Amino acid sequence: MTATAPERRSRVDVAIDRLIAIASDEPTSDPLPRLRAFELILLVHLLATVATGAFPRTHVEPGLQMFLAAVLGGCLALWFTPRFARLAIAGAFCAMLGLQYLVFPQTGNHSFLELWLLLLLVLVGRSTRDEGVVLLATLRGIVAIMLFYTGLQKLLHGTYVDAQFLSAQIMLKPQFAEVFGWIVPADEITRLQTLQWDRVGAGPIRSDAPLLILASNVVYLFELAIPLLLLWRPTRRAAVIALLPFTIAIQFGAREAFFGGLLVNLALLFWPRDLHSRALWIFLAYYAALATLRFALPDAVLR
Amino acid sequence: MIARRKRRLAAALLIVFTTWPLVHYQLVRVYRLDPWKFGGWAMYTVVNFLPRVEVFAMRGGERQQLGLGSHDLPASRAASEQLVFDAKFYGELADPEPLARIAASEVGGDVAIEVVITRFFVDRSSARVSATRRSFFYEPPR
Repeated sequence: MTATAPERRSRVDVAIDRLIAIASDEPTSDPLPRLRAFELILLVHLLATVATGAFPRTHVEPGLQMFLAAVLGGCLALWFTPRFARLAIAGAFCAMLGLQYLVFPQTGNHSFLELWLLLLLVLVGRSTRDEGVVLLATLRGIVAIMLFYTGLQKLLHGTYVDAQFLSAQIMLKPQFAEVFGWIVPADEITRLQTLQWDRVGAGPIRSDAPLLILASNVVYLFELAIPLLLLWRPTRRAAVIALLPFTIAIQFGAREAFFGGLLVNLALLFWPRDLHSRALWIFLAYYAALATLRFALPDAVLR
Repeated sequence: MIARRKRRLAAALLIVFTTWPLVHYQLVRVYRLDPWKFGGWAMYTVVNFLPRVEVFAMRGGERQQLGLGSHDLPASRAASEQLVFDAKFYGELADPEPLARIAASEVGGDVAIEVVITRFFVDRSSARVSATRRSFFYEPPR
């Protein structure tokens, strides 16, 4: 009898395995059911986004938009046949890539994120448990890196320490004035709103309101810290729970309800057990409600 | 074996995903690209105001601003809107030459064209609106 030699692993492979282990669950857990539900929710998200036109439509004719929505609907239907599920995801990737080609350079960052997610689902796949472990860890890595960079970019651009950016948003967007009206004095809101952005010297576009400065600093510190808390197993549940109200809070100012759904779908990937399968109907109801709202109130500021 | 290859592929994708925002930050700093765009996760960091584009015709030492809002110069108007769009997203990489060429042909005659792009931004230290102006000169063909 000859013993089979153990597979030789290079240092790079060891490092990769360690990284995957950091972002993985207990070795006994099965990631495949949650990945299936995650994929389904993602496809529904894409279909709802495209069908309701929740993207910059400057260069996309309505007929083409409906065609892309029909392609995504076809991909969704195909996905239910397990052996074609990956083909369906590849089809959705092509449809979204085509859409973003038309929309570029107005492509939103959440659209880039959707493309990355689809690319990973296609290239890594989930046909075996081992693939599922790698896919889940990589998806978690993408989410953690993205959240970290949203915080780091705010710090690097230097507009959050003294609440300069939020003050500018209050000046420009009524919904931000509404949200921060709770913590910024009314006369300060009025002062900011009367400033003219195209008049050199207008300002100062910042506020001394302590709670606004506190909120501004909390935003990027939260975004810098949350990826570590999501990746570290003992704090994963707490981090997911913390991320949910943060996502909801963003919706009051940014009103990106479709991205909110995507972010919750991604946040649940960090929960130690499969929540996606259980929450599937909640997601479907959420996107159905969003789509109905978009069709009923096409002028509403809701993306 | 396949799993190992997949692991390497996943790691490679993560490396690209991690590296791009750093490149993006440099591109935004150097070329003033729109930080909200191009997948660098810098949305909600800086207010990116719409730039202003002005076109001047220079004939015999006189500098006259062209009314791009009027219906007399429809092609220039469209090209000017395109330049505002390009300057907002692509920053310093936006090319004013197509607008200058169209404006020169619409105005007609032996004119030089000057295109001025004004960018508004909030100065970080004073927190007041500031602006940069860049002029581009195009001589008439000889």
